[in-house]
Amino acid sequence: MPIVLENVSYTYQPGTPFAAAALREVSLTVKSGELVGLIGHTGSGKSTLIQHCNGLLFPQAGRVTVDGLPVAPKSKDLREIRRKVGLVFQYPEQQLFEETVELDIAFGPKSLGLGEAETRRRTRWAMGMVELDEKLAGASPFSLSGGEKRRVAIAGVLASRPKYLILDEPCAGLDPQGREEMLRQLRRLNEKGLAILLVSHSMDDVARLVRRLVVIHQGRILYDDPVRQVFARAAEMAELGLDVPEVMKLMLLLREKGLPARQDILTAEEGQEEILRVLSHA
Amino acid sequence: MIEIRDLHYCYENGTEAIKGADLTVPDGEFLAILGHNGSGKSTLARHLNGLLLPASGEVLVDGLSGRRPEDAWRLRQRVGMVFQNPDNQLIAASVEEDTAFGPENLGLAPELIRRRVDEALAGVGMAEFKDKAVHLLSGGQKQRVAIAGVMAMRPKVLVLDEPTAMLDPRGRREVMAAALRLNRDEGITVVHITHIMEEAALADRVAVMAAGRLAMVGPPREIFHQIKALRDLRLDVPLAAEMAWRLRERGVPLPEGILTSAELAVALCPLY
Amino acid sequence: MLKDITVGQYYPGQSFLHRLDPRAKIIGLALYMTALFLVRRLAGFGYVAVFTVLLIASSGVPPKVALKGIKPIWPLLAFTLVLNFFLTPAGEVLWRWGALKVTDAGITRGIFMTLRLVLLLNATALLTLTTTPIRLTDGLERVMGRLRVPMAHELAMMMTIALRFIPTLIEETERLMKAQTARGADFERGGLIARAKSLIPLLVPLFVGALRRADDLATAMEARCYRGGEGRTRLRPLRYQARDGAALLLAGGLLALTVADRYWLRWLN
Repeated sequence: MPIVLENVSYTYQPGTPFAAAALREVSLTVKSGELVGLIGHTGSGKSTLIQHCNGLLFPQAGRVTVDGLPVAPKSKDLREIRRKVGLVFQYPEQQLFEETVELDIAFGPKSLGLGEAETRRRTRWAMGMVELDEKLAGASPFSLSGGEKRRVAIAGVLASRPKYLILDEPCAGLDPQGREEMLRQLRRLNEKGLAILLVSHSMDDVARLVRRLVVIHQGRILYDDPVRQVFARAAEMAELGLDVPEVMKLMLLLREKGLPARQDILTAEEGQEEILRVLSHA
Repeated sequence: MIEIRDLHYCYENGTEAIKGADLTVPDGEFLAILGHNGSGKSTLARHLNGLLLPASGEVLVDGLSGRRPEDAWRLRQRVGMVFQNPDNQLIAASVEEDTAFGPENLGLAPELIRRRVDEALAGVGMAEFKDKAVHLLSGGQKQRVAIAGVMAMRPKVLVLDEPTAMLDPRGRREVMAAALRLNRDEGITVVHITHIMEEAALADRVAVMAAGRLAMVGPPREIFHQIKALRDLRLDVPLAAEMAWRLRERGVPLPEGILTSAELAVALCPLY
Repeated sequence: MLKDITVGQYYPGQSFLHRLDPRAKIIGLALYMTALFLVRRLAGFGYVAVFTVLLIASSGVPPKVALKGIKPIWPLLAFTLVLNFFLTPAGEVLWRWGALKVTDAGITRGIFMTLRLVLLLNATALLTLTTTPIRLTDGLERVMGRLRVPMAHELAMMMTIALRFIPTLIEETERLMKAQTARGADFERGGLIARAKSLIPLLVPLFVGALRRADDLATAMEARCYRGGEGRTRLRPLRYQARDGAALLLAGGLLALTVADRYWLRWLN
C-alpha cells in the first residue's frame, strides 16, 4: 500500500492579496519500500507537498491517502497516519527538548501510549538504526555534536516505527564527511525496508542515493522518472534555472563541444568511463 | 595586511583549537579557508577582529592588535565580519535601519550614514529592498544585507564565516557574487571560510585547515591538484579537478591545474 | 491566532499622524490616557470617543485594521465587565442571587471600565500603527532619557531587538508545533494540566533557540562596534516641527476639557 496524492492543489492565504499557489494539481505515489528523491528550489512547493503526506496540511482540492486511509482534517485515522509517515524537518536537532537522549527518542512511542518495556525496546532499536552509541542514552542531547544531535532527532522519528520516512534537507549544514555519512545511513534504512522520500535542493546528494527522482517546479511536478532519465534532460533543467549537478554540467559542455558523450551520467566514476569510451572511439 | 604569527588558542575546557598557525594575507587578496567542522577555521577567523584573543602568538591587521584596548574598536571597524546564521545577525527590523547600525555605532553624522547605507546596499544589489522588513527576505538576501551592514563601516577586510552554509544554491551564488564583486571592484580583502570546494576554487589563494593547523596554503590550482592529500584530510575536491586527475591516472594527456568543468571540456576537445 | 496581534504592527502611510514626531505622539498618548481616567460620566466618554474617531479617520488607517486589536482581548473585556457588575458594593440593588448582587453603580462602573480599556487599546494601537518600530523606540528612548529613567538606551535597544525577532519567533513556533505534531504531540487534547504539559516540547526548544540567537546576536553586535548608547548617532535624528506643537496642544485641549467636565461643567446634565 502506498502514499497517494491525487490532483492536490494548495494555496496559502487564499482569497487575500497575498494568495500564493504552492501546489497545482499534483499527483504522486510513493510505494512502500521505495527510495525517491524530491528536487526543487526554495518556494517550489516541496515543503508544502510533504506536509500533505502526514496530515500537517490538508488538500484544498484533490485527495491524499496513506495506505488507503484518507488524510482529512477530522479523520480518526490521523494519529495512525502520522505514525506511518515519519517526517523529519530541516535542522531537526532544533526540536530536541528532553533531559536525556533516551527520553527524547522515547517521546514518539510514549505519545502512542506504548508501555515502558516496548518504549525502551524501540528507543534502543532506533538508536541502533542511526548508529548512535548506546553509551549516549543517558547524555543530555544538548551536549552532543551537531551531527549526533541530528541523528538523535531522526531516531526520535524512527522510534514510532514509521513505514515511510520523509526527510527535508537532512544534509543541510553538514560538511562533506557528515553528508556522506548521512546518505550512507539513509541507504541502510531503506535496505531494512523503510520507504524514504528525500527532499533536497542538491541534486548531487540525491543522485547518489535514489533510483527515482521527482522534480517539482512552481508547484507542478515536472518530471517523475528514473534518475538516469531525469539526468539526460540536463539542458532543459538548466534552462528552467534548476540547479544541475556538476557532473551533468560537464557532460552537457562536452556535448556542446561536439563530443558524443551520454548525458545520463550520475557519478564521477561513470563520467570518467564515459569520457574514456568517447576518446577511445576517436 | 593580515599577519598571523604562531597563533595558539585553547577553549575554556582546555582543548587546543589552534595549534600554531602562520599566515600572511596581503591587501586585496581573496583568501578561502577550507576545512571540515571542528578543524579550527572559524576559531581562526574570530581572531581577525579581536572577538577571540590568542593564547600565544600574534594576530595583526595593519599593525592593529585586539590585545591592545586602544586598538580594539579600530580593529572591528577595519575588519568586518559576517556569520553563518542569516536569522541571527540582523539587529533592526528594516533593511535600511539594520545597515545603519554599524555607522551609528561609529558616531557618524546622519548625512554621512545615509550616504554609506545607500552605497553599501547598492554594492550588494539590495538597494531596492531598503524599506523591506528583514524577516521577509530570503536567506541569500539576508546575508547580503549582513554584508552591507558591515561594508557601511568602510572596512578594509571582510571576514565571511561560513556565510553560505545555511543557504540554498541560489542564495550561495548571490552571496559569492557579492563577495567577489567587493573584492575585485572595491579592493576589499576577503577571507572566506567555507567547506564548499566550488567556492574555494574562486579564490586567489586557499588555506586548508585540519586539526588546528594550516595543512596547505596556495593557489587553488595547486591545492586541488593534490587530490590524494585532500582525500587524506577527508575533504572533497571540485568535480572537474577530480575528473581531470582520474583521467590523467588512466593515461589521458591532460594539462595540470584544471579547476572547472569549462576548462576540462576545452582541454578534452582536441583529444577527440 | 498569533497573527491577530496588532500592537507593534506598522501600517505605512503619509498622514498627519504618521509624520508626527514619535515623542509628540508618546506624550500625546500620555495626556490622552490621563484624560481617559479622569472621565467619570458618559458625556465625558463622548468627548474622548469623538476625539478617537477623528484620530482614526485622519490617520488613513482603515477602521477595520485600527479596531482589529480588540479581537484577541475580548475575554479580558468581558471579564472586566462582569467583575465590575458583581463586585461594586455601592448603589441601588437591581438583582440579587445569594451572595451575588448587581447594583446600578456596578453596571455604570463596568461599562465605564470596559469603554476605557477599548479606547485605550485603540489609541495605543494607533500609535504603533502610524509609527515605524525604529522611530517608536527612538522616541521612547528620548522621552525616557528626559524623564531620567535609568537604562533608557538599553530598554529601547531591547525593544528594537524584540520587534525585530517577534516575527522570527512566531515562525519558529509554528515550525516547532508542526515538527512535534509529526512526532505524535497533541496540543489540543486533554485537560488543563495535560495541555500545559504538552507545551514542554514546544517551550524548551523555543527557549534553547532563543538563547542561541541571543548569543549569536551579541557577537554580531560586538563585531559591528556596538558598545552601548554612548556616542551613538542615528540615521534619522528626531526633530520637533510646528505640527508636533499643534498635536500636543490638541491633546492638552482634550485633557483640559475632561478636567473641566469633571469639576465644573454641568451643562449636559
